[in-house]
Amino acid sequence: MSLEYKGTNQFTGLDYRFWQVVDALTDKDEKYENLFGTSGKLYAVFALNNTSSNSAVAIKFYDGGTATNGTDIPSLTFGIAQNAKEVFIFPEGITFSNGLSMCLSKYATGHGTAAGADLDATFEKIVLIFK
Amino acid sequence: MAVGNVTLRAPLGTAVWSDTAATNALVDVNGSATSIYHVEIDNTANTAVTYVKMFDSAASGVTLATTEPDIVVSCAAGAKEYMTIPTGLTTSAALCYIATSTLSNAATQVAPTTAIGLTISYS
Repeated sequence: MSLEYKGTNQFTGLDYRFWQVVDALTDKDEKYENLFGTSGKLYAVFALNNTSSNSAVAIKFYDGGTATNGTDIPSLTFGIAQNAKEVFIFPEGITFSNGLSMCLSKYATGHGTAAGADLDATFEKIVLIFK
Repeated sequence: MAVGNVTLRAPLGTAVWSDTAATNALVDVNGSATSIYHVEIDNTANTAVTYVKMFDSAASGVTLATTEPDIVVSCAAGAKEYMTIPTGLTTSAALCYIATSTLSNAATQVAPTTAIGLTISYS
């Protein structure tokens, strides 16, 4: 699986990223390191796991410029149910002092520090608002 | 003038759990499937990051260092943190939590220097 930068900064001073899965890979070992290239705060996550063949997905965010799924410990993590959309808003922002990295796993086996199994299908879209 | 009346999905839950001194002991919130709509963490009394770890289980079913947390939210030193989930974040069995300064899933979860405030709106 890979993510593609789709948007641009819409607001002065706000670093806005729209990421979308653009291929069919579902490898749990895919990782997205230092997405914004800087430290900062995460203000919102919009996650769409609407592919009906995809089971619940664990989203894991790491406070670091690198991430190893199954080894590193996420400082922010939660699950997205099968065939669901979820919105998470953090008005004060979750601090990532060393950069923001992200991994996805099948939830049943891959939440917390576990690497888990590959996803059943692509995770459709994820939007992160970070400053 | 047109009028309308829309039934809203309960966006803030039906109950508010409040813990004024959450620390490194597991606490049960709800004994059945739970939808979490809002979480507030008050870590202003501490000079280190505190992690609130939530489990889709009763406390009696959690073995630290073995049971992986289902939800982890970090709160920076000296800060308050809020997490709002309008669509609800659902657990399937129950909900319990622990507050700790230990990021890893170790058997010993170190207590925050000062116990934190924690509020969870859920149904």
